[in-house]
Amino acid sequence: MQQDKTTTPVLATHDLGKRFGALWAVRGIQLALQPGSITGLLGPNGAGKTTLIRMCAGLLRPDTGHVSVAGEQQTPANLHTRARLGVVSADAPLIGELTVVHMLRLQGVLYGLHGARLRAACAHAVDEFCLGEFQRRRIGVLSTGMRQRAAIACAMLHQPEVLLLDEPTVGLDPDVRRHIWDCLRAVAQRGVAILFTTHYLEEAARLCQLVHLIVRGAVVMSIAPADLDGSAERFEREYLRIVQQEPGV
Amino acid sequence: MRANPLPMFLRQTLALTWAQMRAWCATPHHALLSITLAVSYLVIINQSFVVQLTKRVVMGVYTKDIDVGQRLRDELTGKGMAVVAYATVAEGRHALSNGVLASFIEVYTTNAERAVVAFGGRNPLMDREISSVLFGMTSRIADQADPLRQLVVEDNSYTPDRMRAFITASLAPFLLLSLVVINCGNVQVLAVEDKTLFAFLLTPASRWTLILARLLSGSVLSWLVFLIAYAICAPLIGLPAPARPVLWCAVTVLQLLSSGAFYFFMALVIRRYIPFSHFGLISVTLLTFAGGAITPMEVMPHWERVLACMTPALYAIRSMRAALLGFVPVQANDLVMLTLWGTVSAMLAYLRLCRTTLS
Repeated sequence: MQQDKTTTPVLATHDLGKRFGALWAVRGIQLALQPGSITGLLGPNGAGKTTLIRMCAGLLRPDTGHVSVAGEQQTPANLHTRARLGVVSADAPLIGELTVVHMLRLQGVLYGLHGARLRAACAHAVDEFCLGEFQRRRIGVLSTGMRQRAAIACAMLHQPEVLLLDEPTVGLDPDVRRHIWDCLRAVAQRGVAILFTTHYLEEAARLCQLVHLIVRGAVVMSIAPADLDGSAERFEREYLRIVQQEPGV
Repeated sequence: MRANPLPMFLRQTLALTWAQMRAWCATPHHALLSITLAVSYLVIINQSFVVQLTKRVVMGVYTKDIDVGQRLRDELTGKGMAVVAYATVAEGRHALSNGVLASFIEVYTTNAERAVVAFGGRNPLMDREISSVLFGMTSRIADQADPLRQLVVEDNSYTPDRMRAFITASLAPFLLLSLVVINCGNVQVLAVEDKTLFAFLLTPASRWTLILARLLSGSVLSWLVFLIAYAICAPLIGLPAPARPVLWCAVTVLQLLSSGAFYFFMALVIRRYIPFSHFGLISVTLLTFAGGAITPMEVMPHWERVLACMTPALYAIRSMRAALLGFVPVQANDLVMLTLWGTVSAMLAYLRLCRTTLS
């Protein structure tokens, strides 16, 4: 199992495991995310990617191991580590009855922003994620792509050190997907570590510095797409070779 | 520099309360439905439990004495009821058993030595109302026939207005509990089901923020619906004005907050909409009737009295009655028990919320 090379991870998992009944959905996961890095979790359906993200976000309690955020252990009761994380997930959707701007304000207040800082953060988020035209619309009536942009804006409002995304571009058309890639690259350039799950090989190849391939709850291979010259075809061939070698997949 | 935690806590609580109220206002049909149902409830309980003797209540009379017959007719129509005279007892009894009559009175001899009053037996509330009229009337007839056999039955002191006040005071807690189940319990279960709860749990805000915000928004919404419904019904069906308005409002709010905390906690335990709605429906009925909404605690069997003492609705009903009717003072003990119920429920909800995860 490969671990990232630098020594001060902003998010790390230590022998992380989660069991549902007799089935280990995730086992022995060791990750270490560096500031400004984009890490992908790739794998077939049911591989354990979402369970892993849920545990990193503190939405699930691990059965073995733990998650640490900037050296502090992440637990459902530890509120301190939460301020360092931003999460975009179908497991924690935005309130559909609120408008985009009301949701941003609420999110900001819950993360401890107020007054001029809150107003500035909301204005910046609206601007950065191109939400100006839709800021007065209710989230429930927005398109999937627009809602996803609003969700990323909410997650980034308090300037977290780590951004966790669970399949952020699923169901989006190529234009919107590309726009979200640009947003994520811009976020990473500001020093935010990004961990996201995806089914799209092209997305993983283009966006990530490191991709962990997860099969049946365990990381079976970690690939740096740059080592494959960024070639999506080579990446795809490598992925299929590994997945087909795994029995029962 | 870290912000002062108390203003931040208050800001977060108010922001979340405001957001939840905005979400409620974004669906005005829900608000309209709540108010309509609350108005219907207040109108229907008063129509169902307060019997008024009108022309729809038909009394049968049999007597051979013309004077007595005329007196019966005058007294009964004077009370607002309709009267039908029968030539034979059998005809009258037949009409009574067929539901044509509410009651049947037979006066046998010219000096009225024997009078028989028969009731339909279909509705005890109506029979009780009629009986007070008939007993008074027959006593006066018997009294006139033979002053030595004096029987004095006073008129019913429970006028429809007093009955309405009593029923409203007793059953308003039922309406408040139902509104709380919807605005605190159902909303919370839906937040678990649609997972918006977890968007909150991801934030560093204190779990007390969510509990207080849910209680505040749920109580404010329930209170608004209740007050609007009460204000609509007051001129419409003559609901009583509270004898101690400020105290009545305070008791109402205390009941909302306490029961809100209980249903919030139960929503976190049950977590699914359909089982929770079953629980809400049955528990509200149990809490209200076991709490002595209709039957006084003094006449309950021992086991039911023990149950009533453990039922928080008992304290809510007693204090609401005292504040609305003004016959007896509001007991501090009742308010303490309500506060205790709410505090324990809120603490359990906090512990539960700290352990809440997706699975």
